[in-house]
Amino acid sequence: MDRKLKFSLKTALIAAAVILMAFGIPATKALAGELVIYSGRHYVDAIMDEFTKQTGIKLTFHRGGTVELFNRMMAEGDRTPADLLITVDAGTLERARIAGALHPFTSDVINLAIPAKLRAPDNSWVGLTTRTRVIVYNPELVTQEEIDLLNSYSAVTLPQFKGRLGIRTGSNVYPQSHAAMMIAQRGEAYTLAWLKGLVRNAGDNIFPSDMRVVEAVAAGEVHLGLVNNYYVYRGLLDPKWNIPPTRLAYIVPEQATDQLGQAFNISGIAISAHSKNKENAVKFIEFLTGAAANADIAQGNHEYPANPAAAALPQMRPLIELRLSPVPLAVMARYMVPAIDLIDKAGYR
Amino acid sequence: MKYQYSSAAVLTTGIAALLATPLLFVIYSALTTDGALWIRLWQTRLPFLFSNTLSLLLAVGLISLVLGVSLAWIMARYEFTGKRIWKWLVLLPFAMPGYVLAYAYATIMAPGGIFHNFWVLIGGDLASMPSLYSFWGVALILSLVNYPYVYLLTYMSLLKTNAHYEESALLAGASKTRVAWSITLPMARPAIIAGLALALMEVLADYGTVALLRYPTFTEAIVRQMQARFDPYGAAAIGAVVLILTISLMLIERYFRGRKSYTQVVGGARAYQPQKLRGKSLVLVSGFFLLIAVFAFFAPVAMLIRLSLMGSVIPDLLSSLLSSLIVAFIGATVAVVVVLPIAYLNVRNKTFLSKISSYAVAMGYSLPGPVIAVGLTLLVTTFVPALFGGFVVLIFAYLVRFSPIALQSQEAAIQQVSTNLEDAARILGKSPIQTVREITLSLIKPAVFTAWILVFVDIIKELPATMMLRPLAFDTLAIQVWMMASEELWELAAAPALLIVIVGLFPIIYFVGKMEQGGGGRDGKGI
Repeated sequence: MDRKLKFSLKTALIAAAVILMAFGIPATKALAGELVIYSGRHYVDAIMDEFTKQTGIKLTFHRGGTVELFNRMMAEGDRTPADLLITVDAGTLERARIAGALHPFTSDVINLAIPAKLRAPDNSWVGLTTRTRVIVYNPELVTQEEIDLLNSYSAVTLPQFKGRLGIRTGSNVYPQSHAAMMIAQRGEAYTLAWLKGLVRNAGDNIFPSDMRVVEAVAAGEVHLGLVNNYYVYRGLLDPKWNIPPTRLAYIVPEQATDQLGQAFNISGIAISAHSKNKENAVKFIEFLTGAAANADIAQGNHEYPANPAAAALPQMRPLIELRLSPVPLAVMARYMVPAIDLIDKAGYR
Repeated sequence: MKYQYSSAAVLTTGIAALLATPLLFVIYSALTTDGALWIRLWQTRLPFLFSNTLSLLLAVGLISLVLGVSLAWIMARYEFTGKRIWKWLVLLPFAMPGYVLAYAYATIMAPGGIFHNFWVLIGGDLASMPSLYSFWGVALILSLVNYPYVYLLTYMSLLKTNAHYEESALLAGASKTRVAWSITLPMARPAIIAGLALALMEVLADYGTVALLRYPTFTEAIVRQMQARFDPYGAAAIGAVVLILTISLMLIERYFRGRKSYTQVVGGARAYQPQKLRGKSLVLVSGFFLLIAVFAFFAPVAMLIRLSLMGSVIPDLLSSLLSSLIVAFIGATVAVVVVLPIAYLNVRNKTFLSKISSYAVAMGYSLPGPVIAVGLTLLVTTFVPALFGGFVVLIFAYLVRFSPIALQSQEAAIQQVSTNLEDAARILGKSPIQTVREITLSLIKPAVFTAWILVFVDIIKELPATMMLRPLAFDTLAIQVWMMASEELWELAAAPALLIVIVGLFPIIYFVGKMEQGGGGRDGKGI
């Protein structure tokens, strides 16, 4: 090949590379009216299509981990393309609110639909579904006496459950917000002792997801575990798992009046402070919290709808029968960083 | 003879300064961080991270030393059946990023995995089954992927040893063991230490392995500080501590690599005549090689193939492959181009400035991906927020981390081009630019290509910086492996992991081929 030609080829390649990079610069540019959503949760697409059909507003989802998306939004600051942020926990949302990344708003529709306990006081974030922490166990491997014993979160740290307990990694927001709620009620020393007990009893049985804990319980790898309630229902009801109830059941702990109450959390949504489409964003939240859509998104994931008028799956134990922790989520969120510190301190990886 | 020094010097200094900014910004942020943060870090994390990281370095260092030196010794000093094949096999672990090996072993040791089943079969107590999620689990995995650094450098050095010294000692009545300990190994020591330093730098930079196996180290703590706490300043502070460790390792490596001339070949140097291995010792040696090849490569790869064939393939495998290839192509191309003027100037017209520039670029190799990502995040969000989350930043991170590889190989190549050739071209009326283009460039082309391949493969394998800086939903192969493996979706991670390993095999094939031709040349850094 002619050397000159080779050279121009190389130059062209470099030019192409530079152009390619230049095109990569704008992260995402939204069309007018379109809503860009950073979503840490996957919802049924049909519900989203329904919203676009009703309003003509196009939705673009960027999916990822809740914390990853939160971090990205913080780093992008006022240039973030995100109009809305959907997360799987309230702690992250409250941290975004404190950082000034969220847009508070008033909506009578939402105020009526969602109980105040599941929203930020100024509606900076709004709960969509409620999830609770349960003790999952394998009825073939846990005796009735032991089940009676397991009426509190601390019970799983008892010596007889050593090597039999499965938990999720401490780097996840579920154990973190659970610990944060406990700090709010019982203080740091109590919570640290609990976390250390978890680590002691779990040993190597630390799983990357709640679903893996449920699978491990059903398979007998561990005998009991701490998970969000809907993973148990997913294991029991979802045809992909179809675990028989003889191998998978759960306990709702902390129900006595002198106990903590069941730890809970939400999946929630918030409007970015830097959104250019705040009106459309409010419309979208109103749509999702409406009884019909709210029932759909909750049932699609075996969760409780945040809107009390929306129906949960009939197979699920009614939310009204449960005694939840009295700690408001906004208060829980304040203890997220101390909770992460304690988790580190306890050696909970 | 005069080149356009001034403008060239400005250009090279500019490039070097640009590549050094993330490092400088990490240091700056750490220095300006208020004392309270340091106190908090010291009280909560630093001592424990120190002991965790240092003990890991120690263990991996020892294991890699034993594996690398013994393999190199056998390979350089003995002739045996199948040696040509073994030469390839011992380098295969270079194709495996640590997180892929860790993931493969996690599937092997998980309930239902081969090892787990085997343990149950032989009636082992599950409670006492060795755990991968332990110090020794992590140390073994990281040793298996990094011993080739020690092996390769030691092997090269042993090949070049002058046989006279050893023979004289033997004639004088020294025992073989004594010769090995007092002559051969001391002469190879610079190479051994340089290889060790490279291996340990990789251990310090590793994120995927330790995170997957839940063993907290400095690097893992940096990512955690960023992701769980969104605390870039705390992350920068931990990053600065890592820097002290990695830069000292890099200086050690540079120092000892520079002392290669220890084994100087002057006058009647003669290569060692390898001894023929037969019978029992042949079986022993072959068994040793086989054991390592199986554990470090064949068993995990077989597992990946088996999992890939189980049916479920991630739907976006093809687009991930494409994403990986595109960024690797751009990154490698830009890397070999931008360091060229720095390499050229630093060889041909060494000045204080050119030396500093060369060092500034080389420093990047000692930066773990997460440290670069933290530096860039701070830098970009402060000064050019519009660039955050775009490709430019990601490619730039790759440049900082991997262009040192290109620099080193080009500097070495330019050194070998005689200035006479360039002078001749000038006398014949070519302009300086023409001379560089037509003489120097065409002569160093193989080295540029070598560097390109190395950078390309390293980018394909890179995980933490990609994870922290990639554009939204830009999922490379490494990201796919990571997302799937860290969710224990074992089957789904297999196909992208296998693709990474396959890409990683290319440079090994290429270099072993070159070594066979007797070239040797590179010291294997960064393969």
